[in-house]
Amino acid sequence: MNAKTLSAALTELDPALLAEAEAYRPRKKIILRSLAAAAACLMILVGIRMMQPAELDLRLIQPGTARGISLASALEDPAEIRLELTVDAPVAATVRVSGGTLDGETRKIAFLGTKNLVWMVSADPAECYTLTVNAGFRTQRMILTFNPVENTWTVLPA
Amino acid sequence: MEDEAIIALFFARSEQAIAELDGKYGKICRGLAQRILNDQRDAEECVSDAYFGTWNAIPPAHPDPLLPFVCRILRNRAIARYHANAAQKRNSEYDLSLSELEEVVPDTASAEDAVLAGELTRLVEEYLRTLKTPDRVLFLRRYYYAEPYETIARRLGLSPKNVSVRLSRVRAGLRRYLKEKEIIP
Repeated sequence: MNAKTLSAALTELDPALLAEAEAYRPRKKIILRSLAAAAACLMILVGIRMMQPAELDLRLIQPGTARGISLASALEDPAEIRLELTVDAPVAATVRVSGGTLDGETRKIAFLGTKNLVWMVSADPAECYTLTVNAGFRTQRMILTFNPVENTWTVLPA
Repeated sequence: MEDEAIIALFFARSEQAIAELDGKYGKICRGLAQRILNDQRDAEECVSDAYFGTWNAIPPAHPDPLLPFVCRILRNRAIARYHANAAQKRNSEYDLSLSELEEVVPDTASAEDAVLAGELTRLVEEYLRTLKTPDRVLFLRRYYYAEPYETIARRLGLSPKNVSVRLSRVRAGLRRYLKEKEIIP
């Protein structure tokens, strides 16, 4: 007998043993892979959470017509929408205006902190402006109409 | 495709069975043949032979699982081809695994070998069943599939050195076992 005989004898081994050798995956490796996958998921979740603003605050600053009315002679019924936007996460916020003369206008601002936004718009009281701000998964909407008698903006329920 | 569906194709005598078999296990079969023969063309021919052998064997055979059945045919063909090519330079992974097995059984070829081979298979199976699963898998991956240490190490999450040491212990254990059973002196 020699090694070749032994090797040839292995060929006839029970298929169940071979199937086991084919299917076997070490538990340690599976555990390590699972831990690595869990850690990667956790890091992704933490990353997503860090990129999510806890605070998203779109605020109207009154009076919004400080320049608008005084420039009435130069512009036809202009008014100014002056807003203050606060986002407490390092994300890009998108502010979209719909309605009136600014319909479709979009601004994208890189954040962290508080920034001012100003739009010159028509002071026509018949027009109303909807401002929608998105930052991360958060959204805030504000609907404004202008009152030319009192020179103020009115915030309508969104 | 599940093994059962491939076997059904063999029973229906559909040539698609070979394509499905190759799609599912072709890589494993070619790897095994290549490691034994260390020649791509020979390996390809052996794999084709093994598929043809499988085609002839099923039906009536209904193997479950299918892969060890195909591997058995393939390994027989590859080893036969290996011996036919004996004049060639010996440098395959199978040569290395054979030289390691020489530690277990001394080279005393005799006419009894053919008779012994059947008994030997049974004893090796018995011995392997006394081992823990990881050691059993190590042994089979090395001496049945002729895989290099690095491949086994990657598969089992061990270092190649660890694979070498454990295989050495398993071989010594097998030698003791065969001595106990008076198969080797």
